[in-house]
Amino acid sequence: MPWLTADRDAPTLEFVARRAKMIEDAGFDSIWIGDTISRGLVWPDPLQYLLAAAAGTKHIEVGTAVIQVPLRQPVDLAQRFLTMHALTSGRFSAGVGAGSTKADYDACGINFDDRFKMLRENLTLIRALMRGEQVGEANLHPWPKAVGGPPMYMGTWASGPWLKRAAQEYDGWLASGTWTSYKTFAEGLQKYKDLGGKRAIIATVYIDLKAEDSELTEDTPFNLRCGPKTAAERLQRLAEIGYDDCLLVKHGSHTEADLTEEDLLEIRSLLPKSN
Amino acid sequence: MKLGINMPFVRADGDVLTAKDIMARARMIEDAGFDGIWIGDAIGRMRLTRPDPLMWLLPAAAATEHIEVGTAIFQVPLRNPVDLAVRLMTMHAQTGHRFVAGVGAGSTLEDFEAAMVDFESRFKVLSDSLKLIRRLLDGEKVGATDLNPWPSAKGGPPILVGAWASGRWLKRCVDEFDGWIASGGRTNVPTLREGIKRYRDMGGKRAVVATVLVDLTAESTPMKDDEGFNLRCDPAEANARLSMLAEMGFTDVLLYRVRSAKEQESEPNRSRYEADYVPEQLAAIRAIFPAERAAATAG
Repeated sequence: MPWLTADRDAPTLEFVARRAKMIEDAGFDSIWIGDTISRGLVWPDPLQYLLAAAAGTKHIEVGTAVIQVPLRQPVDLAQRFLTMHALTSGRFSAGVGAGSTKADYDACGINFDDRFKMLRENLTLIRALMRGEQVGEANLHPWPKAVGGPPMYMGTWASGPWLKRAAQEYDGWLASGTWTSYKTFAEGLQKYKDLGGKRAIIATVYIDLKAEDSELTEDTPFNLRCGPKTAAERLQRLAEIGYDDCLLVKHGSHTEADLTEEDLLEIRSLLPKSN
Repeated sequence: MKLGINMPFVRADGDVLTAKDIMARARMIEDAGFDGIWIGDAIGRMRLTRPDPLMWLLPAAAATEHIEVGTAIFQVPLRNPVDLAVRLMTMHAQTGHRFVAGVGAGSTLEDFEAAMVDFESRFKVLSDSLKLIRRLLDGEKVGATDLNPWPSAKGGPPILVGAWASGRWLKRCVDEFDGWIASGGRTNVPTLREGIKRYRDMGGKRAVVATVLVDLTAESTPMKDDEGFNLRCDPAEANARLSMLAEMGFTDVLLYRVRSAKEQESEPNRSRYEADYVPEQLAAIRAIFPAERAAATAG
């Protein structure tokens, strides 16, 4: 979803609602946004952005992929997750992670080297608060319908200890769609399923249907920079491997003009709903 | 003098509002002729569930045309300041500049303990955080941080600071920020009178009295000199009290409807701060200080 108007200015609520409705009407299942703080390009607060998208739509899922948990005050973030969960009537999915961009940590004055420790501690606290537990002096007293908070998906590489947590402690796994080959996708998914994992989502797959087809072997990084026919085959293959969701980003789509309704319909038609 | 009102958190049946419910109530408030929708900020205080105030105001703005949406007051030290700058910038952009950031240090120890943030240093943290937030919203690079605000969002929302009428922050409201928010609930009339005079003498402009509890069914008794400013009285007395604030020079009053004695009687277990709205009640509250009169006393 673009976060700049055609004249490269700010997205108003009407703008976000209109764009979100266009995505819902094109038949997509969900709207996702990433999270950056200080990487040379303006970026909205992901939760506020998704809330506006939810307000403009009826049933589509809205999610973060991924929100960098250590950059926020954890009790504050728990309250924001609960608010999102309640206001969207359960349509919000919290894709969470440590992030991997040091610039964002420097910008927020948070130690980059502590990120995994902080991710673990903060998520433990956030989840306890969302369940309505008292932690130290903190107790958010969640609204009865919001107890438990939104489903949480862990953004992590397949290689680390976090995959096990994604499978056993969280509602699913957000695998990175960049720098990952078919082989790694298949191995990662197998490992995840063996650990008991359920929903598996591939995040941030760049798509450019105008690009020249290039060869994609079992070991080269997966991408959808190819013609529509090849893109359809590649998506089909991911579905066959066993992934439940694939989050697409049209290459270079910063402004509304970069992602038109025709683009959306063409992209949606690549993988028919029955799959 | 402008009239804003609080936004309820729960429906009449006690359940949490969804975005659609907030939108319906926001339209009701705008249609009744109020100038703004304002909400407070608490983290698990008094065993009540409280939402993120900024996110709560977004659907309200989405459903309305021109009404202001604001926080009174948002506790800055409980948030990471860079994260908060992004959120304020996003609010400013998304609402088409209808958002007003009423901010402060907070004064409730429980909230700081809950958030695991030091209470004693709150004024220093407020000061440091606001300085940083202001520079980031102006598009400045501060250390490693640069938000690159959208062109039309540069500068960010107006920032009003919640401060005691007697304190030293009053001068900073004049010199560094866009206005002053006084706590109605905790400030008596003589102190408000003294505060607004000092504020005006220093050149202060927008002056808001927040958290003015309203219950027009309450028995009217003359307000005592040590009583927090409130509208728990009949409509005629409420009109007299608001006229007094307008004459003193306040530019905005933010009302907070509390459940009446009768409502409390029928549901004694509900907090009196959790009042929902029906259009007639809003119209009755709006009518105590008609908009024509508000226009006549503006400025």
